[in-house]
Amino acid sequence: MKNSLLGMIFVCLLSSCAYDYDMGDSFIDEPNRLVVNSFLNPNHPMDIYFYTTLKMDSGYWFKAANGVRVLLKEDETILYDAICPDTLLHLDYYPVTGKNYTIEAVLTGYETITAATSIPKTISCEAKVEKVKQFYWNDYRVDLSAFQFPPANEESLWITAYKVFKEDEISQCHTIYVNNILIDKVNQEVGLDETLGSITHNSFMRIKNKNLPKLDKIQFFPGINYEQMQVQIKLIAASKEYDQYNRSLYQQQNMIIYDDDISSVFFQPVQVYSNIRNGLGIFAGWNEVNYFLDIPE
Amino acid sequence: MKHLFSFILLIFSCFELSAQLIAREDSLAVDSLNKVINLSEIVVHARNKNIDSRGLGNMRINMKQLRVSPLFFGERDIIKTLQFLPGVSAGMEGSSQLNIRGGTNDQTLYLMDDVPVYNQNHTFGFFSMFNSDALQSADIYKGGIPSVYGDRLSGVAAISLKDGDFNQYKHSLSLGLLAGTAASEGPILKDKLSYLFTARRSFLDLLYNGVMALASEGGEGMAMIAFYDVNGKLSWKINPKSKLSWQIYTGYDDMYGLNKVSKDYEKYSEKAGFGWKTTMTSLRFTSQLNPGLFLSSTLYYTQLNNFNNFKSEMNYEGVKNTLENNTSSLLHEIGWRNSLEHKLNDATTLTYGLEATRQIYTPNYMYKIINSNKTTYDAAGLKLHTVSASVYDEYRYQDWLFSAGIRAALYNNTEKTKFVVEPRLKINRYIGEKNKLMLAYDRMHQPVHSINEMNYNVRQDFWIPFNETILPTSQQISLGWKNYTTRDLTFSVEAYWKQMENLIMIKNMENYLDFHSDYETGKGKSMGAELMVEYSKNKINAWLSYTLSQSKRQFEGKFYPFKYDAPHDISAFGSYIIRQKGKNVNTLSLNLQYKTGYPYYVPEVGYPSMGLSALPDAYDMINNAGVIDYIPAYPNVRLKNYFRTDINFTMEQPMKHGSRTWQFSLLNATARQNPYAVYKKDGKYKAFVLIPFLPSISFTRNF
Repeated sequence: MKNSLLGMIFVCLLSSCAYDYDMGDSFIDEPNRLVVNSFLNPNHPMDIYFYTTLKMDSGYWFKAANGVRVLLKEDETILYDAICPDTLLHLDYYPVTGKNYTIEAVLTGYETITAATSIPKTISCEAKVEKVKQFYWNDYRVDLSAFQFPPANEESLWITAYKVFKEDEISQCHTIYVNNILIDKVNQEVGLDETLGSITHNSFMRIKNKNLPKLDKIQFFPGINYEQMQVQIKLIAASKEYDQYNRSLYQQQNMIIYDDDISSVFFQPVQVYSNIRNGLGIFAGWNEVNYFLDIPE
Repeated sequence: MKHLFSFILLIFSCFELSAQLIAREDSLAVDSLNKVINLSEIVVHARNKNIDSRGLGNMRINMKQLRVSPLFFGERDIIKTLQFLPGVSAGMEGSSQLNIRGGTNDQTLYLMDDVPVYNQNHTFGFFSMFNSDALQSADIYKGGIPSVYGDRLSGVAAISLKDGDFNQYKHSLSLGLLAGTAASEGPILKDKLSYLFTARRSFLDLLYNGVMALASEGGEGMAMIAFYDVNGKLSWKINPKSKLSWQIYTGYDDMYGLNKVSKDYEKYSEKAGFGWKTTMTSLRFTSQLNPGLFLSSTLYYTQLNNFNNFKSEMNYEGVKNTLENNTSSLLHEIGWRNSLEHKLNDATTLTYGLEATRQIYTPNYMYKIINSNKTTYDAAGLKLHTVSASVYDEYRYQDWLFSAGIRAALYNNTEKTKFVVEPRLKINRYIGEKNKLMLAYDRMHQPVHSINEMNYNVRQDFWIPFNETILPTSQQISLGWKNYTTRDLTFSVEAYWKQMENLIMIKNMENYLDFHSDYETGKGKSMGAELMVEYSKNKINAWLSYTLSQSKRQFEGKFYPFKYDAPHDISAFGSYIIRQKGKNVNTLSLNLQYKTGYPYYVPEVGYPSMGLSALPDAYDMINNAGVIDYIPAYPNVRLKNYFRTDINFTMEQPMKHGSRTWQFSLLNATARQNPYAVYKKDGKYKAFVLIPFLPSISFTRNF
């Protein structure tokens, strides 16, 4: 009897729950907006996507936008000044490191949007992978050191790693064991690996701008398989816009509640960064350096 | 002729006669009595009130109230009781915040025996750091704030610790659902020197870790909550008119995961978590220098350490390695607070205040320790020096009481110095014996603020001093009418209008701290009317409060409702002694609260994202990164109206030595689904309910 009573109390304690919710009337009438999405990278030709949000009886949705008049500039040079016939503006032109880019887009019935970004200089380092003894087995550790940063800029560093298999099969390392105080905790998770430690980062490591000068080396275990031929390390120099957009997007996605339990006590609305004035989306520059490291025998 | 004398009307303030009244109030009251009144007979009526409306914007809660207030996770909590007062908002359910008259929690000055407190939370704020066994009373000031108080825009919560008993020993042990408390007080030198000691500790983590330790090889631990607090106080009656007291508080909160492995050939433990540590100590001297001169002087140190910490210790085949990574936000403050009350004559009392503080902030203190070798990465500090002086004159003329004060403060953040002057005014007009009209004006400035983004649920409070010349300011006008209908029933109505300027909205906390960018300055406005009815007679103690209010913010030129704006807020409390036989007392109490739902941000619009810097399958927990939920810049909906019924039953039973108390509570007895958070999942809106139904139990043994 006593055990049942105690059990009931704890069930009640932990019975925080969720239910379907009718959100009621909204205070605000959201205007339809133009959405512009583009990441500018010197290794890729320019692709700019256009959409519009759309108010419908059942709520809001979005659709592809055609006929947007676009004025695209690289510093003071006009790259494109015409009506884009499609939802995607593709230019066989590669953005240039260090240049500034602005866009102005006009679509009838929508507010004119503007946005600006720049392409940061690359961040490089010395990279190697080696087999190290981890207690009673061996594992592969990636060592990054001797980082080279462009001086006095606003960029942050994002690092991702990929497993490269035979026949060009590639998959991203999503559990990165690393324990470095300079890495942002935004995607830090606590797991358990008795040899590697318990701190993992979900798919990327972000080092914010202010911590870059302090960064001397990073050692991490990306979970390399024996079947792999190589490990690819990508060093992303992120403009302020790219950095804030991706960080806040991760935060919003990570806030999605999966278990409807007491952990939801931490939920709160997260706004995703946008640098599109009068509109939505992102127009952000980034740069990259890739290292393809052979897995040692 | 027999005169019915009421303390309330004579000294214009509602004192409760109690053996625990602090010496200062006791002696002043009697002193006033001797000089002003010359009556043949006096009947003093001691009002048995647990909640005391003491004047315009000022209320006091006595600790007796907590004995019959519903428990929260088995804990009695003074902050939870204060949250039911008119004009005070708790914020989200389960918090330990006091958001006063449209202000935020960081705009409330928390004082414990005159020492500032910078984080009053335990365990996500589910309950506060104030251990009820150590408390004497709690005062809240919403308006008509005495000029000795400053540095916050919206109000003051002044918590008083009791002195240890000077004559007899008293001990108690309490056990709730999450924690146990031990308290002891008594004389060290009878009638000269006393001590008070309380300690509270969570026990779920201890039990769990104990079980883990017994397991042969350990394993992966689950997330744990741990907290403790310790209060100590020594009080020394130097002579009948002077007292010296020393108090110390230390509190700790940790939400962590612990892994442990213990095998023959390897042992290791890892602990990762976050939390905060609060430490305060003070030396306080009070003295009746002469019959008209009372001095109070407090020298204090207060500290807050918010930490995010990882520690590991590995021992493999005799080789030991240790690692610690720590990121902290530190706050240290040393201060000296003085007040001198000078009674010039029967009609005039002057109160002088002088205060100086030195505050050091390290918002991003990072270090790692590998096998005792420590490397510090970032220890850049911010400093704030404050000096303030105040004078407050209480002048009584016929049926009028004028209280005019001025507070001047100098704030220096090492880059800029700001000099501010804050006039304060309070006028009371007595109409007959049963009515009092009140008017107050307050001007306040705030040199420090906590740094949060759009946080409804704050886990930790990080503080920094004001930047550049942006010093938040508020002005408030309050009007009040209090009616002493009978000696058992009083009611009061207060109305206020408050304006705040130079408020800061942080858009990106990281950039705000690193580069002092990504923020907006704006304004706030709030106005409202508060009704409070108190009834206390024989076995019944009850009060009812209603707040009608509107609170707004203006940023980037747009007005929108403040996140805790609740136009209608009704609270009611009633307790009834069901059975009383000697010291055997059974009390039933009921708490009701109804309020308009808070403004909230719900995504209505979705639009395509560019994806994260990864391949689509790389995110374990993320499967919908293709669509961004557009969260508007301003609240777009109101949550459903909030209603909660709490029931409490307290049984106090005498024992051969001392007594025992059982307390049973049921929170949200009607199991109403009050939304705590609203989010979009699988294309539907969902609401999360924090407290669907929460029974609590507490046992206390006094001896």
